[in-house]
Amino acid sequence: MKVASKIFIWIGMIVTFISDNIVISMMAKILEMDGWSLLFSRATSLMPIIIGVIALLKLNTACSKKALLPTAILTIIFCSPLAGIFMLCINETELKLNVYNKSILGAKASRRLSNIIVYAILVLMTVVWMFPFFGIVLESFRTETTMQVSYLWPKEFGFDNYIRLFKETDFLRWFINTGIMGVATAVLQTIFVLAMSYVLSRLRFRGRKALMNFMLILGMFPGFLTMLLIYKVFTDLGLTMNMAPLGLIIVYCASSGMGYYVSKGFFDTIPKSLDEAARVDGATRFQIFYKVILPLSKPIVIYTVLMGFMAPWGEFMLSSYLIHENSQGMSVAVGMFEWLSKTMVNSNYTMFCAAGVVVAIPVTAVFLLLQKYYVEGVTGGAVKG
Amino acid sequence: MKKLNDLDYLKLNKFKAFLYKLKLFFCAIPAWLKNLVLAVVSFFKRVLTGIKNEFVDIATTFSKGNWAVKLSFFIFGFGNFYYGQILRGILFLLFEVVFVGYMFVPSGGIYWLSKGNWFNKGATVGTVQGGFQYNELYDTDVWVAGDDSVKVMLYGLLTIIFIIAFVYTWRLQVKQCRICMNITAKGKKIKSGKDDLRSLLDDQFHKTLLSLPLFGILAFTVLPIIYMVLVAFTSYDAAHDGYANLFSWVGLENFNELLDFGKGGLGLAFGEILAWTLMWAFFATFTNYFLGMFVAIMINKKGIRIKKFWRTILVMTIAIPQFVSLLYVAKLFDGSGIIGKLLLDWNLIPDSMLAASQQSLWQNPVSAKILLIVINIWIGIPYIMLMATGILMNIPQDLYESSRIDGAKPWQQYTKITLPYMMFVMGPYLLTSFVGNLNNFNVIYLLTQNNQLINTEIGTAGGVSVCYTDLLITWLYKMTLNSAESKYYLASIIGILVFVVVAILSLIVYNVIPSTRNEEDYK
Amino acid sequence: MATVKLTNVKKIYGKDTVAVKDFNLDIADKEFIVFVGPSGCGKSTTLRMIAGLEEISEGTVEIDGVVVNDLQPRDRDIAMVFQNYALYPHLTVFENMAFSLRLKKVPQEEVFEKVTQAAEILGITEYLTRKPRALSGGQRQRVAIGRAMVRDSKVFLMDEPLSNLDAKLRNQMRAEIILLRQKIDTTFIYVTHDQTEAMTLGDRIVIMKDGIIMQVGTPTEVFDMPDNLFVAEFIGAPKMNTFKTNLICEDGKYYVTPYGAKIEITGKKAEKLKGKGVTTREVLLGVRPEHFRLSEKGNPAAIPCKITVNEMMGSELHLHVVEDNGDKLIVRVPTVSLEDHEREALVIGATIYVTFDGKVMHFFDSETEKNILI
Repeated sequence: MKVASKIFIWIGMIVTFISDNIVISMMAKILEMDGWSLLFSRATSLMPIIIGVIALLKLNTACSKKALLPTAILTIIFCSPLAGIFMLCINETELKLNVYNKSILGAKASRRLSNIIVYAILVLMTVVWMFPFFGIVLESFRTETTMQVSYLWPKEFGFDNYIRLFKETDFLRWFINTGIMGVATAVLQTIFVLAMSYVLSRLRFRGRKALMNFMLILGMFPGFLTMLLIYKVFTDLGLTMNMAPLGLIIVYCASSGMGYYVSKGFFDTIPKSLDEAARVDGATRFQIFYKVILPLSKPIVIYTVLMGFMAPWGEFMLSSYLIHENSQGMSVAVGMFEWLSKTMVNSNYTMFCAAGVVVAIPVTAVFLLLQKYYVEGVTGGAVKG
Repeated sequence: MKKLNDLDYLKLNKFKAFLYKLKLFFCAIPAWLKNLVLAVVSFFKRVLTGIKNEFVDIATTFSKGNWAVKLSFFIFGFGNFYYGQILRGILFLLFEVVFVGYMFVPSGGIYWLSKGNWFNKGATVGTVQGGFQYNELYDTDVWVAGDDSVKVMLYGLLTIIFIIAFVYTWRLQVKQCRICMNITAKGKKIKSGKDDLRSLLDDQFHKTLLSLPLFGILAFTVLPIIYMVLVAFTSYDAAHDGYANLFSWVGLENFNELLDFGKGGLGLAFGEILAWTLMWAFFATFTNYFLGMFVAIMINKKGIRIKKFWRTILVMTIAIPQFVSLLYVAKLFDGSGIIGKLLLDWNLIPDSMLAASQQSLWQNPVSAKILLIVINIWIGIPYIMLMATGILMNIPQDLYESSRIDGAKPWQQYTKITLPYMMFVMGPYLLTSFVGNLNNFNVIYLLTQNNQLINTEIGTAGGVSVCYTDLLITWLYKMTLNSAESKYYLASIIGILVFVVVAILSLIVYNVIPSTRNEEDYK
Repeated sequence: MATVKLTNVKKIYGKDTVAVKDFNLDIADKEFIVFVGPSGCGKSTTLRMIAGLEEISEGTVEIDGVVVNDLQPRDRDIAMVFQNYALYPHLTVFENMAFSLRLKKVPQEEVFEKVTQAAEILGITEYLTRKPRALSGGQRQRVAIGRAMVRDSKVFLMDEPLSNLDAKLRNQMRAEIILLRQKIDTTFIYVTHDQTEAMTLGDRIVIMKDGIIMQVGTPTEVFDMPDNLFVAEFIGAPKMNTFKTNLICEDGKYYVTPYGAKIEITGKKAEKLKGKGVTTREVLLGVRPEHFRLSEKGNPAAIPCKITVNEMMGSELHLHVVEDNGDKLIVRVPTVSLEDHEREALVIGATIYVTFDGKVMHFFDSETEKNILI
């Protein structure tokens, strides 16, 4: 590309961008444009920058001619006359490259462009995804007020929220409750789910298909429906309120066999010839399960344990029902939810964030440690199942 | 209607081919209907013959059996004892004793059954109503408890189940006795108790493994569901909670109540909530699906470095307990929250959406719904991205290379190679995801509960105030929260209706998507 | 016109892994060129660079006189058949073959015509409505070829297309590819690791090793006049026998003295040796198994050896023999030339005497491994 053309494009981009924005600001005052139209006009002032970049990356303008003309017209209308004229000028500048003109971009340039776009999107996504956690952590250290504010960075830092958390509330109790529930669920649920998945995957017996269909249909009922009866029965048995954690463990684990899909999918990928070889060697089905299949299933076992552990920390619907606002039996989810009710939010918001951080730490730590298995479980079992 | 042979069919262009397929479809409908009817008829025929065969079998067993068999008709386990199966014999006998004992004991089976007034429209469940009676000792009115409808129904149900189990066990042990007789007639050995135990770890291993999980499912899912289905036909609500007041059988009256489409009527509320539930599930599932796939493809692209880093960032959001992030994000968008205030300051909220008094995106039904879907994208993309990445890695690379040479642009590669493959593999998951979103309590409840946006057109329905953003399941939840107006029977009915919706959807989808029809395509 | 020219083409992975070093080749229009060599020699990489699936690190590739380094694959007017067929599993055979045409929005009648034409040539017309999963390996390969045929492109690239087929099918398909070539008039570039395919299919063969071209030539050239030891041993099955021996120049005549025997060199080879003024020196002598003959004990040109393995190939015997000093040779003996008692004498452990013609030897320098007559 000729050096003169390059210089022209650079100058043109900068000049038109600045001048257009000045024009837009003036017009905004005169016409009293509001939010959306203002935004739109400013966006059109970016057009020359985009066109310039495309040109610099060696696009073939013969093809973009089709898009160039209407865009130029649109730009002129929306208060960026200079930009529009600039774009028309680029059209006439000699920018062709000495190659076959079939694709708009050559192989290298097109890959470079798409990579740049992808990186930009990824960076944006990282910011968006990480922002809430960043926010929560910052909030938890905010000491100038306990209610929600509209600026991000705290004016005063301190541990007040954390101290309040442990001294003035039952949070520690809730944390322990939920922790116990997590561990118990992890163990029991894993046993149930693995037993069910293994049987459905490997063993053949009369009624197997019927059983799978039955559980499929059973799963179509909203799970919450069962809570009414269970609540009544548990109240009589004393498994609610402050004994709610125990009741919840039973509720979570009892029907957990129904969630066999992912594990079954995983078991299905282990070749049946291993089973057959073991049977020839004289093993009983139990021994096959214990000595052959289970050692090969480390990823899915850890995945199931992880899922079981993480479940009680975020479960709100069933636990709120059984706990019934008894502070001693609360799980963290139910307890923290209370703090955000309209009456309490203004004095508890930052403490809520502190609690959020405390809750997030163990769960996230465990998850990150076992992340590899989680990914394998999802991609292996869920995909095939 | 003339059927084209292969070559002629290939000559047609797309439009004509489509017309042809349409014609074929309609011509095939009569045959399909006929097949359906035949299938149903043959199914019933099979059931009837099955039952008939059972009775015939029982009769022949009795007539042809030896005296041991005949005796086992009355004494459980006798046959097993006779043939040396001590363990089984003991178990069966025990079962019979327990059953008889339970049924005839004063507060046992028969007692509960009699109290139920089963399916007697208008009659109460339970016969004795509790009430205040004057008690001389304390010189005041004291509550004397009557029957508790809940207990009556529950124990009655259990008793019925027990009876069914009894019949089944009776049949089982009679059959076993007969089989033993046949085996000895042929001169072979009968399995002993030890053999039985050993086989529990071998060919009967499935029974061992399944026993506990199945029991859990039966006790904690099947039983409550049957119970709730029964409740749908009663008048069980906060006022008639079975203890203070007995509730009664009302038959199908409750369904009538649901069909009331007038203002404040349940039918209207139900219709609106159902519409939003379906819409929400649809948008939530598909936006997550396509966007998640897009992100997975982006990260997987050749030339993008530190792939693991990008994936880990997204996966971290799965680690953090959902309720923490959801509650925090909900607040963010409030009028006084960081993002909410930002949007207000920049005048990015159209005037039409700003409510007069509260300046928050949550206060307008339309913006609240959009916000819900957007936040759900934030939550859901990492899961889909993980799955999609796994699938993407399984697509053979030379498909893409071949298409590049054939002239496909990246977009065409996406629609013609990646998308079909993904849809095929993730088809069933989409359905489960859709159903899951239909019942997605967490996201909706946590995000909106503290910003209640009451639906003024519907007002209160089913005893609770309905929000614009309520799903069927959150409505259900509020209804059963022990408020003074809770109508449990309503909750049952709605639960049943949700089930019907899901079942129909699943049936249709499973029979339409290629994943189940052309299972071998991608193997 | 569809000439392909590669000039100083290099492929470097990362910073220092060189897959292809300085590849130079001129391919004429409508020529059938075969790249052949052991695994990892860079033949597939070169093919992929021509196709545009790999970036060219250095050098230029020209198709029809136009430098295509920067062009996308779809703009190079090439078609490619992959080793694993790369058929779209969810499309029928018809749609698979029509794929590229559909991308160009070609009208249905034309698509139908082109696809059925190609299908007829390949004999897959009855499979047009089937999906790939319902086809056998050979049929799938034909569909892959058909898909490339339909494009009417200038250059036809094939990346080890027959490697996934069983032996019998491979022979069959080889013949079909030769027939195909007569029907499609294009430039073919074919990659394989099988030297039989290379010899039977190619107009010219490019033998590669470790990213370098070892020799370029017609099948006859590389067979009769191998440039170096590698080519000599790679082409021809069983492998050429090579052993160290002395080349003696005596009274204007040349002799070699393998294992105690003395064999005179005659014919063109002798002339060339004379022309080059070669004197007594050590050489690596190369003699193909088929050039050995059974001889008798007393013959001064006979080499004694012991049979270790006797492979019965049907029309000939492959005798694996071993010398006193441990060197192993393979000798091919046609069974028709043997009497029954002679054949029975060829048992494991038996000592036989072999010799070879003075016209059919190859001489390689022990260090450079190059043919000293070139």
